[in-house]
Amino acid sequence: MFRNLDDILNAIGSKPSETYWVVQKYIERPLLYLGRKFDIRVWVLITNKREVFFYKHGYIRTSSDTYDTKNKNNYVHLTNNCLQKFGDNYGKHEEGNTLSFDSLLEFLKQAFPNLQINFEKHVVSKMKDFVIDSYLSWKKNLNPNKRKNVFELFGYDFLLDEDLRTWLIEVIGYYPMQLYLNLKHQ
Amino acid sequence: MLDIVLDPLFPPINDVRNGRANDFDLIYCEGGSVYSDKPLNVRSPFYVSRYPFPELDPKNTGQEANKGGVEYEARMSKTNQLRSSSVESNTDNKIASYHCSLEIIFKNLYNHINFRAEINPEVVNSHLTKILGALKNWELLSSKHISLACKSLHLIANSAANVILSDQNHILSISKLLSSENMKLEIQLAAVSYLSNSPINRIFWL
Repeated sequence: MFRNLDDILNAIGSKPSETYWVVQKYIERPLLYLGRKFDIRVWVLITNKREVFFYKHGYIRTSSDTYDTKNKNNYVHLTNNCLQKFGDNYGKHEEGNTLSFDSLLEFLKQAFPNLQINFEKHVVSKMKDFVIDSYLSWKKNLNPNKRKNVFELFGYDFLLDEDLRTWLIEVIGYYPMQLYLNLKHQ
Repeated sequence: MLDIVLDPLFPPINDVRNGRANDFDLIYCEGGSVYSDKPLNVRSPFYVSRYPFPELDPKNTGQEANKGGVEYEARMSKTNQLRSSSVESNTDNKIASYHCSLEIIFKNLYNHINFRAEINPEVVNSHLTKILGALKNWELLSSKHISLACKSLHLIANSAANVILSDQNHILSISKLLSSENMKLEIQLAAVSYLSNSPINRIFWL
């Protein structure tokens, strides 16, 4: 995380040549879940027939420590499970720092009692928009060998800010699903 | 076959053998699917605000700040103090200008090609680059804008400025358009017109 242009340029300058880096705006005012940062993970399946499927049951990943922009500790700002699981407070608030969509919706209704929040309409539909936009920007690079009967599974990470806007944080092509499967199994 | 691929440790909640209903929503397909007879795209129109609640949109906060309750109002007043101009607030305007630019490009091209004594290839080339860039993501364009882009291509192809069509990058873009799946016929025709009027094609036939 950088706070000025010089730091960004220095960091990129120190990377190997002919590598590509994305500079992304930090969302400094995210919506907090009980004072802690969280993001939303959903799965998207794309087939060789160029069908894009959105899996209905995403989940919420929380950070272990109270959010504070002055605190530079990664456990405050990053919700990745691969990082959080090494934190002292991992699992202290939620099992596996993970919540279901239903838990988030319940929290949103409590946090915004005067807004008629419809999770599908106000959050999921925005996520679907981002999925389609990102797919269209990248589709020419998918399945380069034109294989038949194949699919790819992508993990999409989203964040809500305090105005309930949805932000796409990253898309990853491979993710260990064990934690998610355990959650679903419960 | 399904018995081989289904995970025995975590069997699916909805058994696909009982029908096609499952927990995956089809949100986009170009050429139809077993889940949808027609092409499908559930993306919201670009004019829809990124703020799911108008009450939280800074444009409206002065008018309807009370809808979210006292706690929200306090938060918003703090947010407004801290709020800085950011890139995302201009997104809608950018998309509008992007669509608008195709209309302007067509008008400029039309005037430049038909009413100028001398055609400046650099001007036409700059317009052509923008048109091909827009057509690269033709799924995001409305029928009207696709039509405008195609008309612009026809206009260049049939003008004295068609020498610029032989630019290698443009030829590559056009060939990618032609090889894309489910490409609209209108775009294919414009691409064929482009290639048939390209000087490269004439050299080939000679």
